[in-house]
Amino acid sequence: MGINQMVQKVKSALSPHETPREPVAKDVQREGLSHRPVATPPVDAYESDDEWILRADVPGARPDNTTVWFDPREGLTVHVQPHPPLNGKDALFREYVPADWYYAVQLPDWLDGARAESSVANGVLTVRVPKQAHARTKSIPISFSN
Amino acid sequence: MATYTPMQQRRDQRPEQPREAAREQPIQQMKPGKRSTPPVDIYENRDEIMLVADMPGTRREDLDVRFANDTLTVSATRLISPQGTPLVQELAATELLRSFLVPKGIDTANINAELKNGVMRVHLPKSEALKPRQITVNAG
Repeated sequence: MGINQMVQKVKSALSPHETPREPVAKDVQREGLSHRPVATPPVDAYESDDEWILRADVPGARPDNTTVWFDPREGLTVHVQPHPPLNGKDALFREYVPADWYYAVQLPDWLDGARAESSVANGVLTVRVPKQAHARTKSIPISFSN
Repeated sequence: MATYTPMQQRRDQRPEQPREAAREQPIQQMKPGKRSTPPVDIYENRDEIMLVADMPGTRREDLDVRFANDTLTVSATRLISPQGTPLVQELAATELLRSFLVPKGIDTANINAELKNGVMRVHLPKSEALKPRQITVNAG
């Protein structure tokens, strides 16, 4: 191992966030965003004892056209490309502006984004992010003494 | 000569705002209990006219598509079930209703609708009389 490689390895160990990342699917998706109009979906957010729940209206979302990713620095991001095939149909009347759904939110430290799970049904995306163990609501035992 | 109009929306139920505006103002668009008109796209090809509308969160059993008196009426109910303490609430229970005048020449017996991934599609097949056909040119 050369000296430059050793220096790079030490730097990586000390500051992993500054290490250049390999291109991943989300970057490809983001490049695509620059050429496509995006719209922010309406959302609900809930907090339960164990998790934080996000629900978003993203009609047209299927598992194969929906990307949900988590980055510790950038938070949670949702991108849906809902354009349906029209099989040669011509538009007579349009009220919808074709756009991707895009939503991004920073997550607080007390959420464990790495263990987030998502599902989509009836055009509604649900993302469940569990709380960190120390942030979960716990019942405090009470001892009685006379 | 009357102009052929593939689909004509009912004058009393025109959309209040296009989709972009609806996305920018989801809270005003979906007040609880408010009846609203969903935006639609209408497409046509040789065989049919297709009506497309976003209906996220609507289950198949909560969607009603009816045809009567040359009018196609789409109505749907959207229910919201909270899953904890609400922090942000932009989605709301709502009723959607919209009607369209259907032109002559539609095979009304075979109108069908599908609801998939929160998107409703109503297919209005054309009758043979309305489909384009090639005219044979006879030699003179």
